[in-house]
Amino acid sequence: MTFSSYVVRDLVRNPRRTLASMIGVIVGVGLFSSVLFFIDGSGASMTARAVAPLTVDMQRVLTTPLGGSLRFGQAIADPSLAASGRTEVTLTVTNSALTPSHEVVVREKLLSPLTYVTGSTALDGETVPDVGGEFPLSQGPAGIGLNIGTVAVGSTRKITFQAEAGADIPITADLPVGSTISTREAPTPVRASEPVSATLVTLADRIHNIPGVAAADPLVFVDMARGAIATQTTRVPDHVRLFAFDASYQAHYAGINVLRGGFRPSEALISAEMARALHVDVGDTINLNLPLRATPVPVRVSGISDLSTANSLFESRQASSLEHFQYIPYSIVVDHAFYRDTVAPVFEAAIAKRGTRLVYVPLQELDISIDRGILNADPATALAQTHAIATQIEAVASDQDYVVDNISNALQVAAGDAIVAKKMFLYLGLPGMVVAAILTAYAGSLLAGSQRRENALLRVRGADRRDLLTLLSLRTIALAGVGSVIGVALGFVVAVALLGRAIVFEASPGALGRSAFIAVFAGVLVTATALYVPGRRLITREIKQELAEIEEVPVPAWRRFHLDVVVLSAAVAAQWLALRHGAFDIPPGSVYAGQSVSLPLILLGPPIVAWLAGTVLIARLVSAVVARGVARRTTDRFEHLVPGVLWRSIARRLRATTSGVTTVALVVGLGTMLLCFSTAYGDAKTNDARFLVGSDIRITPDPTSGRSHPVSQSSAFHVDGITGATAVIYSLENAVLTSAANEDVATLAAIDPGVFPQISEMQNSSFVQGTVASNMAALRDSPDGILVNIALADGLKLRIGDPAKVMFARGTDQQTRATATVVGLFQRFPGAPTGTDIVASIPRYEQVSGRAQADYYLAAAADRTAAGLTNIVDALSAQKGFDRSYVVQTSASALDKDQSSLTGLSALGLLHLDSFFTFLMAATATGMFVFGLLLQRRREYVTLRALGLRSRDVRRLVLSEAAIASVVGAAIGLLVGVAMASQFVHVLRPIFTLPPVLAIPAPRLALFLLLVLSATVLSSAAAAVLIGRMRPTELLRDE
Amino acid sequence: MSENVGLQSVLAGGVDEPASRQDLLEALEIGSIADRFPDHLSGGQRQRVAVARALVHKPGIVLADEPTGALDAASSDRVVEALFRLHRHQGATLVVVTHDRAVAQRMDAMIEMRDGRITTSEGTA
Repeated sequence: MTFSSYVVRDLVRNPRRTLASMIGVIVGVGLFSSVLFFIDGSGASMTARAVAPLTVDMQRVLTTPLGGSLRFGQAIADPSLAASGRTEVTLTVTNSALTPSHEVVVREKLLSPLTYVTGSTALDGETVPDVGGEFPLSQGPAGIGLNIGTVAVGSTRKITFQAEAGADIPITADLPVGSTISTREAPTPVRASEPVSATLVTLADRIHNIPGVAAADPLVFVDMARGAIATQTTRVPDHVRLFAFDASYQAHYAGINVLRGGFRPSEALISAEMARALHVDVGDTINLNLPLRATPVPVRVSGISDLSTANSLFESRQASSLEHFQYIPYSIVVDHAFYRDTVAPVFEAAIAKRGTRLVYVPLQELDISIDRGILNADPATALAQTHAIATQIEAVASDQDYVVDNISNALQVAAGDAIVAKKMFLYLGLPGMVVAAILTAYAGSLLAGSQRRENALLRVRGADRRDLLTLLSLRTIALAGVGSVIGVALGFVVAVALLGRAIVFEASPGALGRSAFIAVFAGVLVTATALYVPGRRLITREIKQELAEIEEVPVPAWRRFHLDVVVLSAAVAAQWLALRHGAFDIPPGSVYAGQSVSLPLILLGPPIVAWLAGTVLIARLVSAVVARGVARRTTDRFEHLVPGVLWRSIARRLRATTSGVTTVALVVGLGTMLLCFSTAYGDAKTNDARFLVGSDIRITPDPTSGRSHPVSQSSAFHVDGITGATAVIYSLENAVLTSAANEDVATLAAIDPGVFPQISEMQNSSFVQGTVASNMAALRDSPDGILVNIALADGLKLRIGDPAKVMFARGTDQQTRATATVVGLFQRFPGAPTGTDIVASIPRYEQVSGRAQADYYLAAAADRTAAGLTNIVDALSAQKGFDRSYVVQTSASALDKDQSSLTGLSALGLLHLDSFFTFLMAATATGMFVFGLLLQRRREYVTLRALGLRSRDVRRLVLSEAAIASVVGAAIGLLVGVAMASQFVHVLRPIFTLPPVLAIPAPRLALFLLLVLSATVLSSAAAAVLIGRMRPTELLRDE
Repeated sequence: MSENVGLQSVLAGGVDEPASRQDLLEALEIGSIADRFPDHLSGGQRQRVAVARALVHKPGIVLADEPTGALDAASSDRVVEALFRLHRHQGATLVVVTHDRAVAQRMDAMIEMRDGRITTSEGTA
């Protein structure tokens, strides 16, 4: 018989012992692998989360004039040239546009082996003298070209010069092109012999045919001055934006809602605000006053539209405020044909006219939608797909424009975030693996004792130490291997059962396979070590004891050197230093900046170390206190039977009890930490959503509605489920703040300081000084008080108490400048994703500007769950005329475009997984403790039975000892787990806008502890049944 | 070891009296080793602890199977003396099985068995 077959038979013939050895491996690896599967599934869903808020996937912004106003050609007279041979080079400039081109500059950078023949340049047949002996088309070090002036419509200008070859040129057509042209209208140099510039429509057609592109729609827009649109009697009171797009654009992008009429060729769709201002309706005619055009262009109104939610039209294209929604109420939409034939020539002529300087020029772009259905669920793979599509898009008429690849930018951030998520959850799964090792080692140490007799028999039969160690190694590998495989299977089944097939199978089979392999590999490595070490120690100790004939129980090295104290102190010191030096305060990620979130995950190390060392230390301290109590005992009288035996049993086997307590404490500590962490994560997510919205619900007046919205109207929203509502006056750059040092345009929010804190999501940490209450009180009580954003205050050198001046209601007829006093400084203010610079009270705003119209209302809900908020929205919608007058946003539906996609991860899924497995591990730990008692003390229990102890009393002994170990372990675990979670939440700071705070989910924790104690009772009951079946005479004879 | 003896008092439904327990151990000449654990006792000492455990709760009848089997002569005398002291003071009945004729002869009645048969009977009613 070989060693391996002996081990296999040994394991098969002792199924209970085998199962007991493997249970820790199975549960620990199960947790670790299920977390890995969760990561795979969640990471894969990050693609959908990342691209969900994108309005336009890709944009091609045109930089050269549409259709190319100039044709620029280069030709060399001879097809080939010998060395020293000369040839004539001809450059032609033709204007085929509708307007002349001015300040046309032609440059020629002759490339080797051609050199310029001095004095040979001619323009339209007339000699052009060399400048300072240099080539007129490339003068000076900068290579300044020749300005040939204006090229009239339909005319052609010709430049010729002689060039000499420095070497043989077999084919002159193969020489690289070095000549370029630029004009005042199109200052970007264009190379000669370039193909004809594509028009927007041509580009759209070609790009639409690229695989993966769902739609490519041309869009042109231009801002025009106040009054650019008018009727015979009325002018629009503010500046106007003119859009040109076709019906397909309207179909592909949301938010372009036609209220009345339709969008018809050669007619105009106007915003409801414009219709109201001009008192026009469908069928009426309005006039376009285009730049430098003496007579207005009449256009018939074909429809009235609501563009207030058309993100694709109003999101900023400026780098400083990219994708910020900047709504312009007075808008008009025409189709491309109308724009090309009527509007574009006017602007081209205006640009071409010498001496004019247009404030606004048309911006032309192609808005491209990617077929999101083809994108891989994994952000990194999806990124490769969108990159490939972008490359193909760039290849179409390259050099003519540039591509803004929003979707790849978002996916790049998401791919980075996915890696961070994997690391974060791996860190969270790491303690699970540690616990697996501890449980396995605990099982190993308990079961090693039972191997003693077997080892002795083998040694009698001639087995030496090496043979015993070989058997141990084989047994260890078999247990760890089979246990890890079963653990991975359990992890997969549990992940599917708890998270749902949809989440887990979102990941690719390859990713799931990789995770399974990692889990098995790590599981075998860790648990095999944990099983092997106590077994080897036992074999070594037995042999040494045999030689020395003295039994001694050595004190472990870690206790002799107080390593728990040393390690805990180091971990606490590291964490303190990290907090003190702001190691967690790293800049948050930003989708705009293409910056993935960077979590300081290495800083999770000290809390994990502190968890291990802290648990061991506290358990040891409790053990020391018990030992001291034993030493101080003055009487050895047996007062009561069971308590007397129990007390003595615990006191005399403190090390065994402490091991059980420590194991339970570690598991409960892990469970507590994960419960607290997941809750803090979920809370932070909710708080951020509330901060983004301002409260649970934001009710914004529909811009197309003609109703007035006084601030006092907030009381009208008190439907069932709403605990309070308040009005906010807010719009972008609606104020100017002036200090003694400087002045700046600012965004002001006017609130009711008495009500706002109860409705909105405000935290003390948002203010530089004082609390929410003190700042709101200061705003309420000071007649001209304002709160100022710290960044603006720094720029204007303002401090609390400083006087200032504020222009209220900027850009409206009521704009008024008034004095103000800075009564507080804040870092962030809720309800304004684009930022708030100044906060004033509504009474002050009304007093100064006389304006009391709310821009939106905030409402707080009693039930903040998605279902609760939906009920409230339904109740609001049931009010007469509500849907026509208001747009409702809730914190459940809020999605911050710039927020890390990590916030989209399901903390609840992790919570379910962790709760399940930590309960299993806790049950395993207590079960091991109870059955370990049974294994080690069978002789003791049957002796007590023989002495007269009743079975009932033995059961009470087992249950009491297990209960004490569980309760003390759970108490220590609870303490350590909460402390660990309080440090873990720091790492989430960069993900969220509001700093996450520790959350202790008392009901969930209570349920968890109840389950742990139930497991103790159940395993004790099972042990009691076994004790009842014991036959004392047989057992004593065996022993 | 002392507590092991005290446990028997409680198991028998009595009250543990450390002082009387100690007296009993002294009588069996194991009082000086009262704090030792069972694994640190010799065979004879363990035998005397077992006797102490049998006597500590002052039973009315004591069934002793070879109470002096593993003991030397002096220890044997002390154990038997302890049994007799219980008999004298408490009136407990002693039923002793022994191969030691000297011990047997100190009893009020003696039944001798050989190969499973009663061969002699002295002092029985």
